Amino acid sequence: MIEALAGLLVALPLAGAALMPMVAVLRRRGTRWLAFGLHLLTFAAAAAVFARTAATGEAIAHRMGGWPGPFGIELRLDGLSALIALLVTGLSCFVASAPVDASRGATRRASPVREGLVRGALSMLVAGLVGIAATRDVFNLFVFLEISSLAVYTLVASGGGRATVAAFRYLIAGTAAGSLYLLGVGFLYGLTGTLNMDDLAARLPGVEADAALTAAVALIAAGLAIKAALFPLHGWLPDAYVFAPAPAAGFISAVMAKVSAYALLRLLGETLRGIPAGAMALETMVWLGTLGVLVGGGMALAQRDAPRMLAWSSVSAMGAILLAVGIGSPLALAGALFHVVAHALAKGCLFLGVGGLAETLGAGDRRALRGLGRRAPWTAAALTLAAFSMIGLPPTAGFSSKLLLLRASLAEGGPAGVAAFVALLASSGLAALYFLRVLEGIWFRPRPEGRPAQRLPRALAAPVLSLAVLVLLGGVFSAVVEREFVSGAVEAVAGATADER
Amino acid sequence: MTREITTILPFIPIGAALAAAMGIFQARRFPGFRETWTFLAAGFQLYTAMAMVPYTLEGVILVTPELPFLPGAGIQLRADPLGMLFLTLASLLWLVTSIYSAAYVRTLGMRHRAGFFSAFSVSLAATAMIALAANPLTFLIGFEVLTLATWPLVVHKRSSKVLRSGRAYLAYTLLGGQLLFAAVAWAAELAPGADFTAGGFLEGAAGDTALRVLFALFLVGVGTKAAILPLHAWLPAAMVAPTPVSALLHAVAVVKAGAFGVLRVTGWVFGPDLMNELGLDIALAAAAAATILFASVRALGEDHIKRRLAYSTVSQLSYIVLGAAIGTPLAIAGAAFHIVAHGFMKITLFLSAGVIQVATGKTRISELGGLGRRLPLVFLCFGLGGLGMAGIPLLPGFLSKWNLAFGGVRADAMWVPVLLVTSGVLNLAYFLPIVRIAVFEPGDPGQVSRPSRWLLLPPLLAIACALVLGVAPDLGAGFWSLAEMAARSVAEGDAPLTAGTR
Repeated sequence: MIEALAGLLVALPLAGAALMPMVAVLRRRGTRWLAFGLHLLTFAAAAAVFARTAATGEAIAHRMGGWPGPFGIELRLDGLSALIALLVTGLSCFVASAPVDASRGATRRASPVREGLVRGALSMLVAGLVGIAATRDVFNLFVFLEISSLAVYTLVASGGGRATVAAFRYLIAGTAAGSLYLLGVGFLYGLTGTLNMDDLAARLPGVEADAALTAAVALIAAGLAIKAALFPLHGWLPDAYVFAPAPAAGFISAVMAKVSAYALLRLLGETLRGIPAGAMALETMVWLGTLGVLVGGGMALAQRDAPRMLAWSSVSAMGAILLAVGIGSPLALAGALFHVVAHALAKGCLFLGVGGLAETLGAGDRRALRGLGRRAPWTAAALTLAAFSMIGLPPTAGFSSKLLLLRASLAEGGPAGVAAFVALLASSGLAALYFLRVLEGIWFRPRPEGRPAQRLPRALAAPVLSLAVLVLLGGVFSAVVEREFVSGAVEAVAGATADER
Repeated sequence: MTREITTILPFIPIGAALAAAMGIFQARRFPGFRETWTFLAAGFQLYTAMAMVPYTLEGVILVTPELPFLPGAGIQLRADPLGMLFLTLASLLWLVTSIYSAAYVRTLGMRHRAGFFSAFSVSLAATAMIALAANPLTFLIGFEVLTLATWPLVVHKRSSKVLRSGRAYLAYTLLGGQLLFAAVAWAAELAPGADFTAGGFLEGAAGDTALRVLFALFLVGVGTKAAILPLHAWLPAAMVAPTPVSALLHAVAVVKAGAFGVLRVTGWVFGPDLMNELGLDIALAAAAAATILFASVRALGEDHIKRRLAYSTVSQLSYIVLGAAIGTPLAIAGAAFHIVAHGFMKITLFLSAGVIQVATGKTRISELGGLGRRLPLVFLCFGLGGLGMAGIPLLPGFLSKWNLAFGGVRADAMWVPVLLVTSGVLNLAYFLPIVRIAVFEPGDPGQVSRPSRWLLLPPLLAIACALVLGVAPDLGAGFWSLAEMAARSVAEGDAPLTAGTR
């Protein structure tokens, strides 16, 4: 019975994507609640799957069309996949609860077509991302990657104006990424005759390590690295995050790149780990991640525009996650996954809040946020907590993930470990500079003359506050997060790599 | 020998202060409630601290159960002698300062009072956490929270100039916090799950160079708050804060958290033996000596009262660092007692300076002429505090300096007494002129309003405590015994007789 849920996890949002535009045209008022209900239902399914994998420690598998093993496509949710699915579906609920154009004033309501399109795209995005997390088939992963990408292009472009250009740039980068990945998968298929991850892992050690294999690994790594915004392939990210409309931006910034990081972990860290080229790709990733941490932090410091600053800080955070994936020890993976959770919650909160405010004010300049503390103390407090988490200050989730990441990079040792350690510290220092500069304005400076009063629409304030509470709880109850959520996922990866040896 | 009892009692002082912070914020529309909450919390914190002291004095150490945080790192409190000394001091002076703050905000008609009082409470909760931290992680969390909670207090006046000072304050303290974070993560890697252990736990955990780098990280981390040269510049800048903040936080809680951290790192993480082996004691002592002399000379040239006091704080904090560096039991006892002695005397000085400012609006020493007759009690307090700073007998500063000097002699460092005497003379040279100008130099006192008696009471209370401590250092909270026990435990180790004794 529970096996069916694994299939339902993908099927439900996919059906939603088809259904949403129709419902929107027929009955626009009900669409928001239908969408919210559907996302909630998907989340419930993900929670059930997660609870089962956590309780039994075993993966839940669903064979599509009843085809067994290496021949058919297998959806399998182990601890790691279930965690990603839980995160994606959970965050989608926060975003789906808000009206499509929540940040554009109460008077402007989206037209039925727009409503259907945006809501459908969000559903499709969830389907694609959950699919990436669940599938065990490398070609099927490509399909889900494309599904999610198409949905994201739509969401970004729905911002209108300059967002269209950003979406187009993202489309070009994303298509290049998909093509590279597909080419790599083609090589692998030619070499091994299989597309199933477990089958690949079993057959690859027997394949002669020639240029074709190296090319396959390089292509796959490069393709996914673009999607995961690994420095220096991050160029698409800032514009896409900044120009996407606020509710969608909250979701995209929270999970989009991270699911690609998951795919990197699955393929490089697990399936391709046994071969020399895979190990080399991981090593490169540590160094590039380290650079990304620094460059992202530095660029964020240079921004005047608050959403753009947040976007660059995402580049920095993705660097931290990917360098830990590259290190690959259980401690590093725990740090990476804790950081995935912490950063998704905090960044979602910040993008919904700051992005929403910037759109209502019509200005992203961080000075426009001055005086928010007087005007809306609760929103300001929520953003403060999320910012503390981004810097890595207690008592938030970001503090715990940073502690794990620092320890992991020290335990790794060697030049790469030390460089990562220093870069992580430096990036927190930079984050302190650019976030506290904003917080100083929010709390201690008066609202500038002639600026409109800032007010976050209620529909956005609720998710912002609840995400901030989660950030706080995640920090105070780090032990619970680690034990219940992260450790099972780490075991799933570590267990798989241990089996190979 | 010591014995451990597992109990949740040490959580209470932190909980009380946090509850007050929330209560004050809730009651932000009811002026009377804010002070009531503050008094209740300060009183309760002091009460619980005093209730725990007798256990500590008998050699019983109260330990909380470990709250799991991350694998190999938990949050735990442990009421050992050094921690109890700091906690009792902080909560006692919090109560004294609360009386002063209540009168101060009324007299000056300060804004944002709810935020002021609740940030104050959070700072005291963080201080209690630092005092009782059983392991580096707990210490680090308290340390970072203290930095953040004091920021709104420093920038309380909200002007651009003040906000700039606030940035300098944060830049120093957060940078220090980051390096401490690095040090704590590293120590957790070298010795997983290690608690603060009297005599240190890092011996042989890594190579010499690595340990030296780790020591530097630790010391820059805690030393920023302790204002060791060249990390001291934030403290004079932070004097833009309202006087109660300067008095309690920048003479007692924040800077002493740094000095206390230096003692913890030298005595409970590295240990005197390891420091000696690596040559770290000499380096630290040199830094402390340089700070003492530099800051004393710098204080001579300051005309702004609070800034002169700040430089005096910088110099006095390094007495504690010096004691930690010397590492003999006498020196550590002297250093630990100096946390208390300096606390009482410096708060007297700050509160007196605050009364002068409230009554006359004057903040510069050169303007004080003729004020001695108008505010005799204030200048009496000020003079006694200054004498105590210089280490005159019968005031508590004497006891700490005496032990520091002898601790130095025992370690064959004959320059320590010389340094202490020199610094004492410098202390007299920059404190006595303030009283001399006020009492003997003619001048136009200008408009002098009568300070409210609630403003006068706290400095009198503080100097009375100081006088009592100078003669009977063990009366009441047993500060001297606590300092001595702490020092002895570093030399002998305080491991319980049998593991797992309840």
